Amino acid sequence: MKRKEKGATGELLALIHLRRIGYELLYKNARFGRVEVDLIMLDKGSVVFVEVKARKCNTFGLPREAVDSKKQKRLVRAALSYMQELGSEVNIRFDVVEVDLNIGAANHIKNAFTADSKV
Amino acid sequence: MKQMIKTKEEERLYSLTRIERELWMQPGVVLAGMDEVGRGSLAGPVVAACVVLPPAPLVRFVNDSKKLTAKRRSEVYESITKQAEGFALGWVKAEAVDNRGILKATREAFCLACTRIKLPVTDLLIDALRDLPVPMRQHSFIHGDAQSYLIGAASIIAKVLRDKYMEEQHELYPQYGFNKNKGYGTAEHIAALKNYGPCPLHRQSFIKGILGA
Repeated sequence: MKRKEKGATGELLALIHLRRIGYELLYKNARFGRVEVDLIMLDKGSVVFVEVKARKCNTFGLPREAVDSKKQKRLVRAALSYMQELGSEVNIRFDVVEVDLNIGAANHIKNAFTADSKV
Repeated sequence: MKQMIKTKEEERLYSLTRIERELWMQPGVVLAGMDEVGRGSLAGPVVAACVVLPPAPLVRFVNDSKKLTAKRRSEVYESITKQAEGFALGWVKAEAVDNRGILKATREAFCLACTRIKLPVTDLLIDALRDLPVPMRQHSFIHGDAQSYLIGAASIIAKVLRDKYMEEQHELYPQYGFNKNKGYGTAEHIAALKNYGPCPLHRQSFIKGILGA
């Protein structure tokens, strides 16, 4: 499976999972400069920036470990430009969804990291 | 080498789910694929299957049932039924095919299959037929069984179970070789039909021409 295909399948599974628990999709693969945000969703008035990590095996560590501080900083920066575009204060949260492509299961980590000291 | 074959198969499945992925993406959609077998058969029922499968993991080797060997088909059937969120069948007997005509009978089989499934299906992928009198949104495709993962999976379920049924009927009416031809008009089957006459499984409307009555 090509890298892009793996990502697309992972995002699809994550999207289905998040919708099932009542989240609403705002943007998919939204770009902020060089940063791409997999899913931006709305959860009871909070805007959730979702990073999807799909894996076929755990040989190279858990998916969530792949969201390192560099990636976290980028997402925070993207969130800031999103807020600027929006021109208003909103509650923003960062979630990570790990997807196991072998069994089609999604593991949702709410508030995977916070924006403090990342800017 | 094995790894490469695996990757190729995954790529094939990825392109086979092009239509599905677009619909899976939409909110509130529960998507099912449907297909039918036995439409051109001289004997036995026409059988439609309706199946709901998750977007991942995709069942390997799913394809148009006509493109798979019998052995591969029954292996894939096992994996499909294991992975499926649900599936259902619609059977319409030869007698009904005679009474209502094959097109109506086929449509009836489709309607039966998708109303029997115990899932809140909202969208159907169908091979060729359109405007079924059911409340689901319908998306039909010509040669859908070769283009769509879910239609292909439905064609495999329908084919395997209809074949199994015809093999069982062979015990009752062994003259015609239903275990091999499944009711289709092979030379051997037609010769037997001329020799022994029809059995209750035969579609009278289909064999009139052959028997020259």
